[in-house]
Order: sequence, then C-alpha cells, then structure tokens
Amino acid sequence: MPFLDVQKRFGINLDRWWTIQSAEQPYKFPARCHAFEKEWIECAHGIGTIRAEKECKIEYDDFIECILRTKTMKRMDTIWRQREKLMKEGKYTPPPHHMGKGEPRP
Amino acid sequence: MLSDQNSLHVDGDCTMDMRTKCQENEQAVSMAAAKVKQDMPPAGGYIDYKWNLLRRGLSGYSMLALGIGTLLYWYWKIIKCNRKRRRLQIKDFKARITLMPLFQAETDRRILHMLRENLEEEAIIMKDVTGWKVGESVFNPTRWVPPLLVELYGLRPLEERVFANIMMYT
Repeated sequence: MPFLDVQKRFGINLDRWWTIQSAEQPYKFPARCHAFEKEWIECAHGIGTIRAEKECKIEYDDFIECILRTKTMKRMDTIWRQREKLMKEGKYTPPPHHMGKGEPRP
Repeated sequence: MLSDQNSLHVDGDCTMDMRTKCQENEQAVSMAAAKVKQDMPPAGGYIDYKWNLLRRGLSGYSMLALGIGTLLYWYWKIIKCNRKRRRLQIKDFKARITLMPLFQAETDRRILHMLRENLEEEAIIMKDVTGWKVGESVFNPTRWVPPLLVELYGLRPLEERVFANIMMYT
C-alpha cells in the first residue's frame, strides 16, 4: 500500500532486497553494475517514463551496456577478427606473453 | 444311561424338577472325571514363581541422574570448545583482513599491466583499420569499470581464460 509502509513499520525486509540491484545486501556485497544503476535511478526517479526515456538516455545506455556488454563484445569481436585476418596473412605474430609463454607474474 | 435320567418322559413322573436332575448329573460326571488322567500342576504348587532378580546395582533414579549428569557435563565441554574455535576463527579473519590490502594491490597491478599490454596489442593490430579509436571506452562516464575476464584474457590462449575463470571462484 502506498501510504502504509508495512515493512518499515515492522522492521522486516521481505522483498526489498530483490527489487533493484543496488538494494541493501547482506555483507554489503555490491552488484556488478551498482554505480550505473544508481546513476540511472537518481536521474530517472520521479519524473515519469516519457521524460526519463528522453533525459536519462545516457545513463540508461551505460547501465544496459554494463549488464549486457554488447558493445564490449562487439569491440572485442572486431579486434579478434582483425587479428585472425592478420595472422592468416602472416603480417602479425602475437608476442610471447599472449601465446602463453610469458613470464609468470603473481 | 445319562440321557435316560435327563428326560422326563422315560420315568413318566412329572413331579421331578430340573434342578434335582442336574445334581444327580454332576455326581455322575465328577466320578467319571477322577478316572481320566489330566495335565495338572505339580503337587504343592509351582515353586519359585516369583521374580528372582538380584538386588544389586544402582536404582533407576540414580541411573537417570547419572546419565543426565554426564550429558550436561559434556554439553558444557562442547560449549567451551566451540567458544575456543570461535576465537581461533576470529584470529584467522584478523590475519586475512590485515593482509588484504597487499593482495588487493598485487591484483590491481596485475590487472593494469594486462590491460596495458592489451592496449598496445590493439594499437598494433588495428592500425590499418580506418576510424578506430584505440582504447576507446564503451561507457560514457570516465569512471573505472572493473574489466571483464574476456577483456583481460581476450588475446591470450583459451586455457588461460578457463584457468582464470576457475580461479575467480575459488
């Protein structure tokens, strides 16, 4: 109920911990995209969906990127393909630490 | 013979009632029983039919008290031992907390080193590709985002990535 916060009244936490990623977790473990979600929620809260989609597009895109990592994977994919192409043409050999023969570091 | 005595019709005498006839019957029956051999208790009754338990050992109450006392004593011992274990566990935690900055610094250095190597490799690989900004971040804000496993080990052989994946969860 909107005006009757039962959970706060009784001091129980039945479902607050799984509503958003940034909710209070036991042992204070943060979510992976905690910062991005916090930014987005702070930007988009209380202004309605239509306005939030226009004004908070940047934060939303970052948040979705953090979760899905589509842009990251696409970037890595491009680099991989280029690397394979160059290796097939013989123009590029990876340095030893990329072929598993690097010196061991802690 | 018995059936003759039972029926009223044979005598023809209706004044004799059934009770007199039954008494006569019983005498005849007991005399007949003494002649049959039956399984009877021994003469003088059974001897030693009461329980012959020895009167030794602890009583029931004292055994119960002994059992419960032993339980309570060892419960107390377990409590003390668990408290000691808890103290040792706190010592382990303290050691881990003390050393955590060092390990974290090592890990951070290693991650940065690997990212730097990847960046240089990327510059070499993609220098022919038009419109490619080396080391471009996909995120808009210039915050430190912890790199993915695939970013760190992307250009390395697969076993290293698998190994790192396993080590991350141990």
